[in-house]
Amino acid sequence: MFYINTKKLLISGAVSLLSITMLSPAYTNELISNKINYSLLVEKDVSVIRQILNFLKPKPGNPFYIAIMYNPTEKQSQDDSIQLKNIINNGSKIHDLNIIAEAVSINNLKELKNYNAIIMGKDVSNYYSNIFQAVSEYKLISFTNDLKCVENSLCTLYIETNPSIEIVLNKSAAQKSSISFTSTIVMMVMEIEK
Amino acid sequence: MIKKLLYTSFLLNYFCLEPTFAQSIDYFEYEKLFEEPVTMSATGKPQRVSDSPINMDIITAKDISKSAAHDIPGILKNLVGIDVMQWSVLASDVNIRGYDQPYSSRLLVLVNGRQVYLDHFGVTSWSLIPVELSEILQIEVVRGPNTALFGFNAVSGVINIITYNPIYYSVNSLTTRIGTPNYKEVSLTSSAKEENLGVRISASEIKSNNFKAQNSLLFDEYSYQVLPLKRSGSINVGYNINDNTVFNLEATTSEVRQNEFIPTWRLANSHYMAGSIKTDLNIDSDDFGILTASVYHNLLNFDMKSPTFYDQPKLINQVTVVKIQDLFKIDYNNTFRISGEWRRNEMNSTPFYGGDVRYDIYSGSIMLDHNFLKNLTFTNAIRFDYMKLSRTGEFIDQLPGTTPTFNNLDYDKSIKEPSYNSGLVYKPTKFDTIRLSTARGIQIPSLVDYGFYDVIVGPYGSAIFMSGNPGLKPTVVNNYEINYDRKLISIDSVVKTSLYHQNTKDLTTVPSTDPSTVINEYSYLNFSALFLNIGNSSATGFEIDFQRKLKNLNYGINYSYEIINDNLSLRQPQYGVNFHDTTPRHKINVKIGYEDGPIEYNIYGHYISTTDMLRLVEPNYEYVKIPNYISVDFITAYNFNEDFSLSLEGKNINKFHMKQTSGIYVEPQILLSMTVKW
Repeated sequence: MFYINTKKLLISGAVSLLSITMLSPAYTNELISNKINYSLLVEKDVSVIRQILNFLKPKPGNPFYIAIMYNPTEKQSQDDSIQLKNIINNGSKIHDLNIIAEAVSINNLKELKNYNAIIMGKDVSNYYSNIFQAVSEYKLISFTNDLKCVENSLCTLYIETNPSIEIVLNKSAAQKSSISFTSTIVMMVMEIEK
Repeated sequence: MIKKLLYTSFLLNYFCLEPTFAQSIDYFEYEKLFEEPVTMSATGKPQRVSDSPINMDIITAKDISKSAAHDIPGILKNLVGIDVMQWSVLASDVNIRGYDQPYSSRLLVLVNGRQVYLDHFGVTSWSLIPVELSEILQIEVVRGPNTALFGFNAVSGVINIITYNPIYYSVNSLTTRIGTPNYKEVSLTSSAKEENLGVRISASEIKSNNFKAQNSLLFDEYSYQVLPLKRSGSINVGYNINDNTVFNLEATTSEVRQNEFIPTWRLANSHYMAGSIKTDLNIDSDDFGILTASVYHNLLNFDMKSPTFYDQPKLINQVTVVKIQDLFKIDYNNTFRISGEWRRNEMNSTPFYGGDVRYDIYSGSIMLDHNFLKNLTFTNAIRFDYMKLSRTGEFIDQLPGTTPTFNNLDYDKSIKEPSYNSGLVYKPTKFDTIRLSTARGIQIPSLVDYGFYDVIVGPYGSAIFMSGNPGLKPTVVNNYEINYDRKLISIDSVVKTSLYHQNTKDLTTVPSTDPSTVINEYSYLNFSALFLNIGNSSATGFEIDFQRKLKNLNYGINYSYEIINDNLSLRQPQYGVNFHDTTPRHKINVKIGYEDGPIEYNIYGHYISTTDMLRLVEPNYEYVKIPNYISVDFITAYNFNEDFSLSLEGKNINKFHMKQTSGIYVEPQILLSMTVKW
């Protein structure tokens, strides 16, 4: 009868595992090196932002206003914020939540009192502290795809969507803005405090 | 024990005083957010399946709709490492990673956390499960022993079926299906939702003829054939007491008549009637995390006719379970779960009425999920079970002049067993996940093993008095496993691999003619035989699963290899156990799916390598050679719109009279289905 002993099986299994580990490493490196610039959010990120609002406690008011922060001295920053605004305003509703986005300059932080959340746009990293002061004052939730902003407690949520969804929540930043989420979502995201 | 009671009392008090916080998990919302299925089953903590510390696959509602199968075993057999033995149109036995056999009792099967395996023997009658495919949100398939995380019977794995929560989703669907062999099915699911209240009802009926491959029946089995019948109904009510508190109530009923193989490897005509009621309360609080309390009661009425038995065994089995669990985050890196459970499982002695055998089990478990690093998580769970066995009522003398094998005092026994699960999940890159896990699972002997009392037909017209054995030891399974998953971004696919080694200690067997199971020889032809622990077994295996999903095309292939070495104290196969030969070494599943506008095509292929399966042919067991075989299933669906579709389904279409087991040959089934949704 056909028979393979345990030792042979373990060896062949280990070889197979190694073979798969070596599979397509070049493409992996390429993907990592081409990581999306943190200051440009894409449609998929926006979709995650839309969905995560559903897990806010209490539930967000309707309509929900989002400010996209941009640096007026950088044309690319302004263009990106307008592009992102269009993505959000033209996107589909989730749970009937009507989200209205506007581009807001870092020079007009007082305008943030009219919003419920902000998204850090391109080339605003030098102004995180100022923005966060306003965000805390007006009790807003802030989204970014710059992990450092969350690690430095200057943003509430870090969103990454490639190759898989990663969400990092800074609890102290959230507390300063009086933002809280359901226990369930808190258990599913990476929570940090610094 | 006192501390546990105090803690439970504290939780109950807290829970009663402030029932103002909670939110039940809406799986579908989380699946959409994280773009992968989500589970709470593994640790009690909501997590993505890729973060789970155990080897788990999740079959989504979409996967089910594309499956060619119209029952749960048919869906499961597409997964890597799953063994399915189909005995008739309705009856199948399913197990994970080998050890499949008639009345397979190593699997924990749950519907929304309620056990649907039948506790008198630990067996799952799949057709009896009162759930419609249209109301299933996902099926979680967990491989390996997971007693500490999931509970009893989870020694080879867990199948956890989760239905749509009626608070969040309305499911309205009517499916009618007709085909061969004179197969007729109607399945209805209907929901109503109003603000904080959701109600869903479901019902179905299946009638069919038998497969015609009667040449595979033994002479004395012909008269035991029965026309397959299934009826079931359920009601599920969900109520959002407030934003943080959800209450659920489920009640079910089901009836099945089917031919199946029983542990003596002979045909039986079985009739099951089952009912259940269950309530849950989930509280999601900032103060004490997620608190869940559930209470349920299962009732089974079972009778069977078989050439094995002189008389017709009739069983009434009742199970009551009370469970409370609290899950909370201690700090950023630690999540803790504590749970307590009480269950009572009782059964009458049959067919010699007058006695009842029961056990009470008190269990406590804790789980700690610790993040060493962002990409390194270590999960440990420990469970302790204390079982108190007892028996009341009379023992009827087996024959004039003989004495019963045991008395009630022999049943005054207790068992204390610890179990554990330990899993390390490491994600060295965003594309790779490595899991190392080890576990000790416990299978408590069933009430039949302990307290059955009947006469079976032995060789040459002899009578064997089958007696349960209160001295049985639990079966213990130790598992050591490594999993490696890799996302192949370049081709938009995933490869999952597993390597495992498993030791099973103190397997049990039904009584037989083997001299070692015989304890009282009254005469040459008449004697008593016991359920016994018969030794150990080990299994080593390797699994690989590749899946790719493109826009219109999806395909996948999986392969599993397993070798089992039995080390049994009795000679094989006299006592009906031989996992070495009855478990296929190689299993391959292939699927290809293609969508072209409103038309969907899905085809599934299965290869199972040769086995020597057992069958009782008086006076002894004999081997039946099951040559390796390929079976092909397909489904072609035309979706007129989102609410109306027609499909043509085929099962085992590539061969007439396919010999898949030592029982009845399986025949091709062609079915036409119509589904209306609203």
